[in-house]
Amino acid sequence: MSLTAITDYLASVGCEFPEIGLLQPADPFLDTTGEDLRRRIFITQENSGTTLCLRPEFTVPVCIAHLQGARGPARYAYGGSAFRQRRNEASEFIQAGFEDLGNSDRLQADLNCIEVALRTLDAAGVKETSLIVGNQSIFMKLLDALEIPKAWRKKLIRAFGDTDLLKTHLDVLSGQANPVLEGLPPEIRTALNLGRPAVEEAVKEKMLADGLPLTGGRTSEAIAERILEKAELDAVRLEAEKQTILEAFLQIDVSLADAASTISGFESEFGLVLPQAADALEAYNSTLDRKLDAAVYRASFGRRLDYYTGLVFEVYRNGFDRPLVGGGRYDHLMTLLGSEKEVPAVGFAVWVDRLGEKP
Amino acid sequence: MTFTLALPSKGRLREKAIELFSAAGFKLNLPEDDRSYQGYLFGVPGMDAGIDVVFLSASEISRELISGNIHIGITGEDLARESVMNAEEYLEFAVRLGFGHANVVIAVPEAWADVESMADLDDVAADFRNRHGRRLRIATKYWNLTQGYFADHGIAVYRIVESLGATEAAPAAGQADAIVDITSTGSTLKANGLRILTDGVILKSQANLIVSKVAETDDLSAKAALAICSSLSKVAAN
Repeated sequence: MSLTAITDYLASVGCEFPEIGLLQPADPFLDTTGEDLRRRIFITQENSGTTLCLRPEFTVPVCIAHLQGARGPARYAYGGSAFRQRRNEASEFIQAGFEDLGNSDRLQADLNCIEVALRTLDAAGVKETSLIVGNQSIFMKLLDALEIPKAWRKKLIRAFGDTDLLKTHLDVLSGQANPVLEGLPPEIRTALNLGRPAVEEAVKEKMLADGLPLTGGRTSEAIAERILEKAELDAVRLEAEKQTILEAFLQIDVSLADAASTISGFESEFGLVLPQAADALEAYNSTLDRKLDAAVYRASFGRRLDYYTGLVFEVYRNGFDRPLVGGGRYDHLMTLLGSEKEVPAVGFAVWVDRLGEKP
Repeated sequence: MTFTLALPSKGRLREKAIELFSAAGFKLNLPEDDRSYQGYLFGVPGMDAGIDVVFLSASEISRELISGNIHIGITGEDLARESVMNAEEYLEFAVRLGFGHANVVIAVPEAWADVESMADLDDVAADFRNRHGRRLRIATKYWNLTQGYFADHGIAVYRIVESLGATEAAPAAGQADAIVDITSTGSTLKANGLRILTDGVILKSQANLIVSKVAETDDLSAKAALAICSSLSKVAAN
């Protein structure tokens, strides 16, 4: 049985198995993944009014258990049923996985995570696999190197993982500058000429006039800051050269063995420095001591969840389009779940039901 | 088998629906007293004994059409689309009737001078947790419409706060940051210091004659539905 083989292996590398109930409070999932998840999970209500759901995955509850234990670095594993409303697959499915929490040697933890994922598949007897790797932080380093304005930077990072959307953003940023100032109310446009305090004051007056609370939601400072940000971008547009460089980067799709030299070549071709990017790719490659059918680095590969921050990877079996394993680094998840400081976190999940699928 | 038509049980929707059926040349026997919700419709070809008419609330009509308990009915498009994802799989929006106009819109506080479009709202939603320690909150009773529209605009990180009345007051009361609600003239929104985003019209709704695609049907009932649709489409205002 695959699941036992997997959990036995994960126990053998020193993972703890926290107790994760079938029924979970829904809020942590909805808060982290977003309201859209609601349509894809099974939700129910307690008499007290608390919203519960059948566990849609294990990472969030494992992280919550870790935080509640107020622990130092630890490695966890899990295996069992998870539930999601899916169109073409069963709503109940078996998931197993691994989470490495609190290890601040990020690169080492990333390498180890890929290694454990591949060995987990070995333990389950899965052969003929291929690996695909991406890393959002390399894209972020490129944005820094190109000195992309902060407001655009945030937008582009958010779209990372959806290349069509990214290209649309790039077209908008490089095309006709957005005439944002025209849409502003006259009193705010006047205030813009007088500087930031005047804008804040004008926004505050509007909030008071509309009976809006000044605290608890968007503050006049936050609104004024974004007005100024937009005004600053009103006149500028993305230079054609930078757009070309960004698009060239997003097209990089090479064997992992060639990834480091490709990135180095990219850096020298455009006269840019992406600190430690090539080194990380080289390290990913050298951690693969086994024969995979293919291992690729795709520069545009990422997950559109705001808590993913760096490495992402998936393992496929040849001839199938759905991944057997999905993993990555999610350093922002713990703070979303209430941790005061950032906790480094990397892990993967195995879609156990897919392991035995016949072509 | 019985073939059932459902009409709104109260208000202007009911009056307009009744007017429309008589303008189309049908004879509608209304419930005999106020406490009864059962009537009959005569004049549908092949249905000489009359067809059953039930008077239900507009949202109930949507649900009953979706579950296939009634064959045809009049209700607001907003309620029908809100009642189920992929409404087209269950419902045929056969005739737009030209009354009951209302838009489902997303509106933000006027003071959010930096937020004009959904793209702006996307930026604000993405940054909200960082700045304010919680996700952006949208007050609405339109869960499905909101989720669908936000997903179409790539916005995932927000929360819905259920609001069953006076939704437009939620931002001032500090219960939510923005709202999704129905409006016909926009004056209530304005009075509450709210502004519709430039691309914030989620649905331009009006009363529709809707045919259930999932109700059990035979030759006779299919013909009856078709006859009602074609008669009403001739007299509907658009």
